[in-house]
Amino acid sequence: MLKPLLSLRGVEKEFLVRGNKGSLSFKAVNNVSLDIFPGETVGLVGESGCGKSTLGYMVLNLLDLTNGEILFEGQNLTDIGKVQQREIKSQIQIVFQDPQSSLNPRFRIGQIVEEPLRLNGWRDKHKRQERVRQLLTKVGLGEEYLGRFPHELSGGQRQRVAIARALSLDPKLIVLDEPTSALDVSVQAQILNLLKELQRDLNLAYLFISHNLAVVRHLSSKVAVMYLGRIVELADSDELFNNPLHPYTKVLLQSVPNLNTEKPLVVEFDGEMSTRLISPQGCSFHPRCCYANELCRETGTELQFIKEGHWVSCHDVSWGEKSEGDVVVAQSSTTYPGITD
Amino acid sequence: MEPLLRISDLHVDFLGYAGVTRVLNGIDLELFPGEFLGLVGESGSGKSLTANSVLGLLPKRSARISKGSIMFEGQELVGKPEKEFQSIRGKKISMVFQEPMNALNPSFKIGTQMAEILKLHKGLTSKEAKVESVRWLSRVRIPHPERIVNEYPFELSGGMRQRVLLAMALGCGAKLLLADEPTTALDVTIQAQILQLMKETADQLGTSVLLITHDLAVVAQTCRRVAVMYSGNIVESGPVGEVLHRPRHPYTIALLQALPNPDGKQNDLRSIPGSVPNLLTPPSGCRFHPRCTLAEKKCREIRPLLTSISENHYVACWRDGHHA
Amino acid sequence: MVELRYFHYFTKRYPLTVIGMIIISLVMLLALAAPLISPHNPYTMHLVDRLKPPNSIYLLGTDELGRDILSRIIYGARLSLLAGVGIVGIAGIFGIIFGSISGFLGGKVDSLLMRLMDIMLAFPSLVLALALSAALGPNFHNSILAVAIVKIPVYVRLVRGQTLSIKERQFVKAAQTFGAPKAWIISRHIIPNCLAPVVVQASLGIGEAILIAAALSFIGLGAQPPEAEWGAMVSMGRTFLLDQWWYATCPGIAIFFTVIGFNLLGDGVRDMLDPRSRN
Repeated sequence: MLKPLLSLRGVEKEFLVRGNKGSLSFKAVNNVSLDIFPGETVGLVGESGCGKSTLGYMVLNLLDLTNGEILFEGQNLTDIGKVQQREIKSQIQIVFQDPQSSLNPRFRIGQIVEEPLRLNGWRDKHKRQERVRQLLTKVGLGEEYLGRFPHELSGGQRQRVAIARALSLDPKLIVLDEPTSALDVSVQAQILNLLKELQRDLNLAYLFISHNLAVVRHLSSKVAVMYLGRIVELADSDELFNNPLHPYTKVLLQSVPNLNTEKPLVVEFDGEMSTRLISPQGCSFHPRCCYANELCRETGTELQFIKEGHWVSCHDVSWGEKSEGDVVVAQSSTTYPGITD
Repeated sequence: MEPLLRISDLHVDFLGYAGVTRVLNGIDLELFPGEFLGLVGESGSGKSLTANSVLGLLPKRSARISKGSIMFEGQELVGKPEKEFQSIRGKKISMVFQEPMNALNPSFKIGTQMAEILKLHKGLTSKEAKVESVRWLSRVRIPHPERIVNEYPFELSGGMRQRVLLAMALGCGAKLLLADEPTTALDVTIQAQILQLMKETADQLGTSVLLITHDLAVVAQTCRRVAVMYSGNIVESGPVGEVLHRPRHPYTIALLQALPNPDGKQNDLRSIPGSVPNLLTPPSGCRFHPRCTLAEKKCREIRPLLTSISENHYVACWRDGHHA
Repeated sequence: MVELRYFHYFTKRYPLTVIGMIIISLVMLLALAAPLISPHNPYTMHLVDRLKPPNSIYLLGTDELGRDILSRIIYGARLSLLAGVGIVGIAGIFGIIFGSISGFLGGKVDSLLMRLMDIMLAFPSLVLALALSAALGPNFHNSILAVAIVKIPVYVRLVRGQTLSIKERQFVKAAQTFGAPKAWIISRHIIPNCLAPVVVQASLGIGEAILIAAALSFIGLGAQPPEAEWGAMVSMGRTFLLDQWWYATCPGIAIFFTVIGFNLLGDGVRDMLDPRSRN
């Protein structure tokens, strides 16, 4: 049995928010468990506020966990000593969404890619520079970029620099937080191709966080759907897109516009993801779910095994399988008067 | 049928100390009453500028319309004095932007802002405006509009704000709505709702919509016709089904090939070689030629104009079409 | 020739700034070339020619000890410039160091420093400068130090605010993921990106600094006789205001123009560095 590279067990993150009525604690990430195996890409999808970026930051140890544990190659990150922690940290790197703000505007490109090396024991200047050149070539940038500043590069080029920097310490896992969302379509294609190529060459694992389902599907072998801090569905990529079971996943897939001009968008659901600090009791999706019943309103849900490669967090998944065709008819919590007047 | 909006050979220049940048290089566009037209392009294509030109919103000191005309309801908009534009903006032509927070004043309640517009453009009294505001808010499916009228913009979510803007844009009976990336900043489920709302409301009111976006899929699902822009020119336009399923311009084709297919998998995406041209020294002839795999000598020399290749389907490429 | 065109464009766009720059260049010229330009030695007393009005030998007249006023004004430029640059320089450096550390570390360190800054800001600046100056001893250099200390909280707050927003930026988080220690992050990532507002604040602050230093000398806490300092000259000239009005007025005008020059430059710098005005 192949051992997972990264294991999340019951990971939670609580934030304390001070309101007029005293402090409220709110769980941005709620009981998340996930495994990432070497060389695979796990996609993490959800809309804003679902906690996917928070989860990404915790994986990188940029945020402390409130509960649960994260194991890298079997070792708990919080248990080990500082030196080991450092070594492990270098194995997990990140590429951010905004190529504009992920590079220090005052550093030259060469310095940017060199920085991780300088901070991690590479003392020989020549060796560092050699490595930097290697890395830039790997991402398709020539030597002439070494002396330039970020503002002289295009969005796509900056993102390549960010990728080169992430590769500098030879990581095993890279967290990609919306890496192509800020890029044009044609540039996005270049970057996605590059990421795929690098994964093949270096046996990298990716945690691909995005709200763009088409892009996630293109790159991921496994996809987790998040809603209000929980994973509501986890399945192999094809399985999820062909056979979505959780009502939210269906709503999400339905909303994605596609190039099929014959089938115009049919939207029959309303309401928005609750950003109220007090999560609804019971299943977090029930206020918007058309299949909700008593059980849903009262008891929370957990990820359950449905079949090989497919877990869903819903009280009655068989409800999901009963839905007709592609149209999910969901109620809104309010009614609105007729449009014609 | 006469087009509601007709842009002919529009050229817009930006003046800087380094020289003149021709950002719009001869735009031809027609929009008919009650029509939903998509204007698609990547960053730097000039799509937002086109919309801004229509409303006379180009920066006065650094930009100028050097050639061409914009006809709206038979009136020429190029060269119109600022004062006359005031009676058009908001009343006849409205605009909705990507960031709703930039269009809403954070210091005033929603109701106040809506009422202000209704009073200005429709001449209603305060009382009438108040009632009308609530009516419009419910029309854009905002829950509890009587309560929202008393809230401030920061209390609403992004999707809600965009609905308010839509209400404000359409509330005065505008004939033409310019929507500049209205859903780009929104989550995908909210985007779907807003697009549907725009479509339905526009249909009922008979408003024409120019939807500017970089997302071809959005256009596919909402528009009847689409125009594809590249570097200051329209390179292809026609019915949505035609352009997206039987594209003729190399740029359109390349763009479609670069999109990951949400239905299938997994082959490498075809990306477009090169990058968007520097407009200070744009390529000669067809601006796409340096990146085009089919470029010929003629493409480097003369810019092709939009010609019809089939019913309503126009392409600006030397491969197709015969020019006078 | 892009350079010439740029210059042209620059002059058209920021005419007032250009005027400011011209004035300051003049003042700097006076200060640097004082020994060469000055017609007389500023300290030499020509007792025979006391309190003479402007004439061909003493272009702006003489003071009560027979010293040439014009020469004293020219040499005075040195002191005022020293004051202006010295004050904002010292305050700026301390501000950058403490502001960035405080903002980045947060917690108790930050709270403590901020309360200290609040206390300092609660005093009217002139009063505090007066008190410090008196405590340190009446002396031109001490007066510069005193005003600098008074101005430190402004820069600390400015840099701290910048730091708070910069530390959330993605390149800082990236540096944390590859193990950058705090000192590294502060010195290489935070501080270089804080500089723009500091430069703006400093350029706008030089004018005020010059004024306060002159004011302290005016009261007698700054430059001591026989130093040729503008504020001190105005003070001395008060006594003779009715009959020899040029004695107090000329150094006053010098202060006025210098401060305006720096203020115009400061406005221009602020406009130029304002991210919104970038096309």
